[in-house]
Amino acid sequence: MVHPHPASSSWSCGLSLVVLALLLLSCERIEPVRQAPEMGAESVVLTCEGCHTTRAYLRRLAIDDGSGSGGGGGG
Amino acid sequence: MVPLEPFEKVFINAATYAEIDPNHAAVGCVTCHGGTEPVVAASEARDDLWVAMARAHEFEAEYDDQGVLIRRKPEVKGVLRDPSSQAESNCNGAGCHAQIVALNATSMHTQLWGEKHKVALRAGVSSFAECPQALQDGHTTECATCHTTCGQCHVSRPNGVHGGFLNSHLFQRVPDMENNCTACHGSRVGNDFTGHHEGNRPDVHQELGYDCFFCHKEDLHGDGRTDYTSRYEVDGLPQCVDCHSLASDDNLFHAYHWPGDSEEEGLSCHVCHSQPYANCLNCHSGGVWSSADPEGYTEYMDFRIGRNTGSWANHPVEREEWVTVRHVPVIKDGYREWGLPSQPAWSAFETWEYASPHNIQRFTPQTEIALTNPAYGMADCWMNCHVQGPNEMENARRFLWMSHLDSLKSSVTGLSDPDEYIRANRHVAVDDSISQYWNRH
Repeated sequence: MVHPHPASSSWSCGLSLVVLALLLLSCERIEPVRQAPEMGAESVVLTCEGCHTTRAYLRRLAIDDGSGSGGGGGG
Repeated sequence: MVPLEPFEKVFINAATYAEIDPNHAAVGCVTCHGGTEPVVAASEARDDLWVAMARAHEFEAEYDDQGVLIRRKPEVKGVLRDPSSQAESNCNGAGCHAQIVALNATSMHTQLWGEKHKVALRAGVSSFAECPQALQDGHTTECATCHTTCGQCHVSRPNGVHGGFLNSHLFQRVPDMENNCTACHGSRVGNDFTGHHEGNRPDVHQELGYDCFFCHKEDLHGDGRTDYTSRYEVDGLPQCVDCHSLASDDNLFHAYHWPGDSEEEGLSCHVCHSQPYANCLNCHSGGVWSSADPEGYTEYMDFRIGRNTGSWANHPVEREEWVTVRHVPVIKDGYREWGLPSQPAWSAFETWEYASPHNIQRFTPQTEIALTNPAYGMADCWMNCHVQGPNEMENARRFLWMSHLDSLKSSVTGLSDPDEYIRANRHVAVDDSISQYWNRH
């Protein structure tokens, strides 16, 4: 059995955590309207699911009602 | 059928599509629907979102003379509402559903072979491809638009009832009876099956909780054949004897009338076990009803026994001499809105056609005599059918007589000679030559 080098394992573990954190952040940002910093502070990126899911729909309703941009639940 | 709300037609009831259908979600929305994803909006301002949405759906945003955005969606967009309308490239894009897509391209639902055959017959040509172009175009753009795509059975309601998801965007392996089958086959089959018509009970199979697929085992995706002349040729159509046999259901009625034993005595099961069903007097093209009746569409309840003209292979009632027949909405000038004032060989096919009403009951007005009148016994079973005895006049009204054709001919428009209507249907009707068997007991 080959054991990973301790330093390599630690590095790998750290990288995994970073990737996981990025993924989680990314998931959170696959919202109906998400920020796209490279396009400027005002720009937003739209995806299909960003408009055609219930969560997106409820979020849009909340925006239209002026009650903020809180996301609604899916399901 | 209650229409769906607009949001039920476009919103996936989940946070992400992958939550409900990871397989199709992996393919991605734009792979099937087209369009562009993602797109960048300049801001969350509604106009900016609209412009971005237009880009995602691949149409040009419009502005008025003042440069103000007009929020109007055009008829034609880059995205496909129903990708399966191009099934060969979308449902089979990566070979996903190759076999079924290829089969379905030739299916009865897709091609309407039987209807096309009759359209050609009445046009006086031997195939639909030989019909006048205006007739082919009219049929394709109006009649054939209901019949149907993969998605209109497995994802959404059919276009004919304005679509809408069956269950979010989840693909359903088995279509839903109410939202798919009877959404199209509603005015006859659906209304019969559910007992919609006043005075009728639902079909006994519906009362027992069965749906369409309990009986319909045939492959609705077709078998690759392209030479069908009738929907009754399809292999594997349901037959009552698939479940009910003379051996298991023997009684005096069946012993006398089981099909195949005698040419004159053979009845289709529907003759005894159907309730009255819907018939039509007119048809429509170009959005206009062709009718002698100013009200337009004319549907009426009736029950008529006529001679069986079905001679197709696999016909479910090929051995029966007598069947229930329905007046179908084909009139001679039915295509005038397409620029075709007449059908040159209109009388080449009857307009009283074999019917299989989906409102079966064990006891119907034809069969209940021995139960409803204690004075009658099983030996009097003929009393509610034969044109004899105390119920003679009422029983006679159940047959398609030549005199009935004569009374109807004035309601069929476009005939240069009203007797053409009788000529088209005379081999279905009975007249004074009705079997002596039916006039005695």
